[in-house]
Amino acid sequence: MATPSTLYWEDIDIGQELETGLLDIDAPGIRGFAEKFDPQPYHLDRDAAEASLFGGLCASGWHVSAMMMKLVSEELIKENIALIGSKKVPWLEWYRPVFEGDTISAHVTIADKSAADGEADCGLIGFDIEVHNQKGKKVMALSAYLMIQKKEVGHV
Amino acid sequence: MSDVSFLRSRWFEDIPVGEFHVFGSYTFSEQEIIDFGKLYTPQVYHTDPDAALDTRYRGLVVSKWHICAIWMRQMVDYMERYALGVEDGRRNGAGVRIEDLEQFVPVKSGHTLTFSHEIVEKPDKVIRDKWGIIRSRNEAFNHRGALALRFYIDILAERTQK
Repeated sequence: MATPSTLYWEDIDIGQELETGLLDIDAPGIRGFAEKFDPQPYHLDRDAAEASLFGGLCASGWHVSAMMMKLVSEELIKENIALIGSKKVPWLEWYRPVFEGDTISAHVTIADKSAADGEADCGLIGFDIEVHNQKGKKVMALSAYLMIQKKEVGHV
Repeated sequence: MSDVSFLRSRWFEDIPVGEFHVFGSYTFSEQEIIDFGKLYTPQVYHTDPDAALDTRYRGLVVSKWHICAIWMRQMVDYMERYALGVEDGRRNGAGVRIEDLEQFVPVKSGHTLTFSHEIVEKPDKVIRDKWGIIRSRNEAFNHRGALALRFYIDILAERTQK
């Protein structure tokens, strides 16, 4: 799919796959997000985290989601995919904690392609996204429907 | 955080379906929208106020992931204030699944969202021997009373009966 020209809704096919880059997870990063958005002990303090159900200092699930969005966004930009908005996330599941010292990356599959209700200039693409750690274990997965610009503006 | 005294947390069995809370309100500033956007959601409508004017949103908008992060902070702060929440991480556990996350209206700088939380179900599932699932519907209404965002989340709560 690597091409210098813009990829529009018409150019994307079900079954196509993308691999994102990598992100290293460290304690300052975990704490930085947690202090602002999720100040629970197991995202801030190593002792509390070890005593918790997670067993170690780990990133907030919302931080993992945000990092997933960063990885996927960068890949969509690299592939020149004409993303113009986000529609919905039918489901998202967290499977495993993401600990300090982990590295995450995402595998993206084009799972669905449909019209966007009431929109003439874009269509929906359904992305199945799986985030893995460096051991190949799935840490998070979701389905996300994004609005991709159409080459040919159609009728509503 | 270890010197903050957390209040008593509740067992799975004590949390009633139908309970409704309002966590509070939050107003988004332009700079924080840009800061979050530059880190996590680098689309132009989240990072560049001028270029955002030429997009379908006609201005800088908050990402749903940013709204959810603010929801999380609102929930943690609320739980600390009202004796319902996390003690040491053992009693109330992690979120495990989200369903039907959708944003309905754009949220821009200066907009205020108010977050509500309703326990809608306790599915008949036991996770890793000792955790039950508390399912809640979470909604964010803007300053005009319009529903801006909604999602369901399953959060683990420790059961007294193992």
